[in-house]
Amino acid sequence: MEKARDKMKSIALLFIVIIALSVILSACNVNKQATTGNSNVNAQEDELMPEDNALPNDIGSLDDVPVDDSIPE
Amino acid sequence: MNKIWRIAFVMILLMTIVGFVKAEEDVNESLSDDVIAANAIEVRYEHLKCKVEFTTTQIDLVDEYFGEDDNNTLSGIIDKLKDNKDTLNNDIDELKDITVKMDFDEYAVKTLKPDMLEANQNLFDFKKYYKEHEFDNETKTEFRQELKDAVAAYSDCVNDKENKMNQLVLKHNKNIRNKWAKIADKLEKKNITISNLSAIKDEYAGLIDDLEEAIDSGDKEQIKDAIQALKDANLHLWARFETSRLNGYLERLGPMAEKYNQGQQMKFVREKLNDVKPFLEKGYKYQEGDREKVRNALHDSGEKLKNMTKDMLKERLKERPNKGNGKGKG
Repeated sequence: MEKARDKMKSIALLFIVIIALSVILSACNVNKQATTGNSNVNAQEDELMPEDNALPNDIGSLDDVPVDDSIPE
Repeated sequence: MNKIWRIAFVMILLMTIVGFVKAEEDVNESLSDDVIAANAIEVRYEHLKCKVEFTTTQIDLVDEYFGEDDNNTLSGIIDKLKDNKDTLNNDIDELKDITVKMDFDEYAVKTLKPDMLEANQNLFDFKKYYKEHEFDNETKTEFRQELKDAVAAYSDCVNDKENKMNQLVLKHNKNIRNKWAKIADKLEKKNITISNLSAIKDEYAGLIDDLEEAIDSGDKEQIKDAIQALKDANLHLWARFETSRLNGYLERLGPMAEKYNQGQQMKFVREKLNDVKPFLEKGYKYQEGDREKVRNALHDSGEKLKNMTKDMLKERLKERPNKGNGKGKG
């Protein structure tokens, strides 16, 4: 009896894990469909929309500030 | 049962790790350019600090060795040098808090540089006075030795900052190259070809390799030339890459633009891209105003293409329900 109850518990837990995983996976899929499938606009935009590619920033260079490093005789 | 639990646990753990790794990759990618830009300002600050510290050390030495001299000319110069020291220390403190490149550039050129030139002039006046007047040999020997030590310390200080800056320039250019490679891969997936991409890639890779070799060699002139070559090519390569990329989009969008009456917009972009053609010739030396002209033309073309694409996609979306109904009825 005890053994049977444990088995039932284990099966129930396993189901919970499987259901939880399927919920997570389907949520991901729904999200994906929402962004790529529903109107299909985003997919088209992704395909046809030119991405930004601005002129790379100039990070600058070391400053040309002179110093007097002469050593007098 | 335990086995199943373990498998489930391992799966969840793996999914979590993969998620974290992916998120971390994204963060690193988006931050790296900003980090490089911030580091570059920090290295520039440290480099200027080397100069200020070297100059103020010289002023301290002059004061230490000759401050007690009761000659009016000399004490006048030393007073000026002490003022210079205060000003320079104040300048470098102010500069420490400036993190925006444009502000940093302005402060370095318009405030610190003139103050440094004034200090240099007063040091020059002192050294001239020193040459023309007799001091006891012991004082001279000690003073000169301390000056030599200060020059050596200054040299080490600036060399270290130069090495750091060279590495940043190298990393910055490698980042740009990688970014362009990603854009090119993305375009390939969209069936948009960049006609002269391999030539652009090779040229950029060659310039980066030259800098890497120069850094490895430690030859300052070679490094300077390699960095200059990269700077000169920066706009040129970007302009070629951008022109090819936007032309690729033009070709790809051509049939759709015709369908949605976007001929005028296409013409605008085509003309803009044609306008910049003369500036794309290899070895073309940019004249004053050319850079702005090229940058603006390519920026405007990109924006126009984006807006045009948005409009066309909207139009296409409007058509969609009608098509769906039609199919359903048929």
